[in-house]
Amino acid sequence: MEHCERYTSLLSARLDGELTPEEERELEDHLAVCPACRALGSRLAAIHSAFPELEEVAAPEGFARGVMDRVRATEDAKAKVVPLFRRPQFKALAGMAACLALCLGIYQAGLPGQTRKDAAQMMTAADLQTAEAEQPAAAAAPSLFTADTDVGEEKAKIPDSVPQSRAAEQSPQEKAGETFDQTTVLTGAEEQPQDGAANGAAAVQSQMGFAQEITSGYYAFENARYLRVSYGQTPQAPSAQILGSADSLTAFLAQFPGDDLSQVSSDYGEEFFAGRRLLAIVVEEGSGSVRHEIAPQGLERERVTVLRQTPGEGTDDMAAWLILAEVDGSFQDGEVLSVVFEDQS
Amino acid sequence: MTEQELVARAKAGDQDAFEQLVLANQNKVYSLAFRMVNDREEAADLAQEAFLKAWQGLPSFQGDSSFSTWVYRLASNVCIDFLRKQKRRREVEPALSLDDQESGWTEPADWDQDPQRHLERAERGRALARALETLPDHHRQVLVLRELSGLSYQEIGQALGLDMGTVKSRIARSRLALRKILWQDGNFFDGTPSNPSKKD
Repeated sequence: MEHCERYTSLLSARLDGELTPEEERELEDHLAVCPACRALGSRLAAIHSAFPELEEVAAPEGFARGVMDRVRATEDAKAKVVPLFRRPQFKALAGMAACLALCLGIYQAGLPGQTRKDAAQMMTAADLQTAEAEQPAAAAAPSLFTADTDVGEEKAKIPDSVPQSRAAEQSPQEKAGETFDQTTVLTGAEEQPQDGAANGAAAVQSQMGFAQEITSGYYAFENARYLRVSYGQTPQAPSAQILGSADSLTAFLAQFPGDDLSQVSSDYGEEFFAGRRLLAIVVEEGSGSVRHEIAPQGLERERVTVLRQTPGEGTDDMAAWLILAEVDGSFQDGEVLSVVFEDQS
Repeated sequence: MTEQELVARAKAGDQDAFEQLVLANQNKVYSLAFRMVNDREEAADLAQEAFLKAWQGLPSFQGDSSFSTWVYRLASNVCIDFLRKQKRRREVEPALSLDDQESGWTEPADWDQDPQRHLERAERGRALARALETLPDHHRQVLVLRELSGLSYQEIGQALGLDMGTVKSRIARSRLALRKILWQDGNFFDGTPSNPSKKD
């Protein structure tokens, strides 16, 4: 059998249709004179043909339920990252902010003999009350709207009050302290009368102020690059991490054995990492036609939102992408971010 | 409801429809994962991940193939990812040699002395399943990728980071190793092959 050893792999490869015509001829010539290899060939063929007869192994009990739990968890995560500006609450919030500014302005304007500074201090107190109270909507908002009611007929004085609006008077520190919690608090006063709140410069300015505060949870990124890489030859997907040194980048890129990413290495050297970091996202899709983009306001401290656009017509091939974007030096090497997808219609 | 109808509903966001698709395909997908990794818990996790990818990829699923074929392919890819990561771990902590040269197997002295037995199809399938479970990982995995996932030698090479020659010889050795196990168990698979090609 020793001299037949070479033909074993040819017998096996023939079952898989992986022989070249030359190998096929060579094997046939050998089989014509070697009964042992003919017998081996028939046995290997019998094993090969038995694979379709393999019985299925029953999935464990509760398997489908487990899948659906994971599906629901994914959907919940997606729902949580609907961009703020698309949320119905945002419009109400912005209107509420405008209303609040208007009320404060009117309130201040209606206070006889009180200076703007005094009024501003009172507003700060109201803010604190709003932020601290467990039921702030009930505690703070009514008092503010009481003022609105008191001076409801004096809206003509609004222009004088505009610079004293809540947003205009707030210190940078206070602005930085604004959180979603606080905006949620304000949402609680949505049902309060808002007539006239959307009109005038005060409303516009206040809306702008809130928009800036709300978006302050996002981090800037630039020069995003979208590189298609070999499917099945990437690190875990989806995944996102911060690369903070050229060495980290080199180690990271080594996890893409199927692609030549030397250009990436040369683009981001030690000089780049002196003040900046690289956000690296890996995604996989069931179709090469799917396109990705980091959401314009998609980078947060611990997660990044990726917009996913699926064309009407697409292919069913598997595909993987490496997305790179430059971020500021406040991110640390090795930080891992969660990736959240948002499907675009 | 047909698979096509269920897919259409699932694409529209109907989770109940998707669950029906999961139930209809779970054994097939789980079986593949189990035969790939030979660990029930790991297999369940991988199979679930395949279905999760299917749910996430539904918007891009064009129906060129059946859902069943598609999710099976997704499962293959999930398993390949797993094997690659497993391989990387082993490279860091080499505990088991994957060198084909060290896993050699000597054939029985005389094939023709094997007693002839014709097994029923089901029994053959069961015997093969048992034998597969006892194969070393690196033998079982290439065979599953070839025989169950239907990958070409080139695709297997890409998936496992092996050159074509190694894939070819490893598959051959895996089949011989399987043959040995079946022979030792008294299951000889000496019945008529599906595509006899020998020249008697």
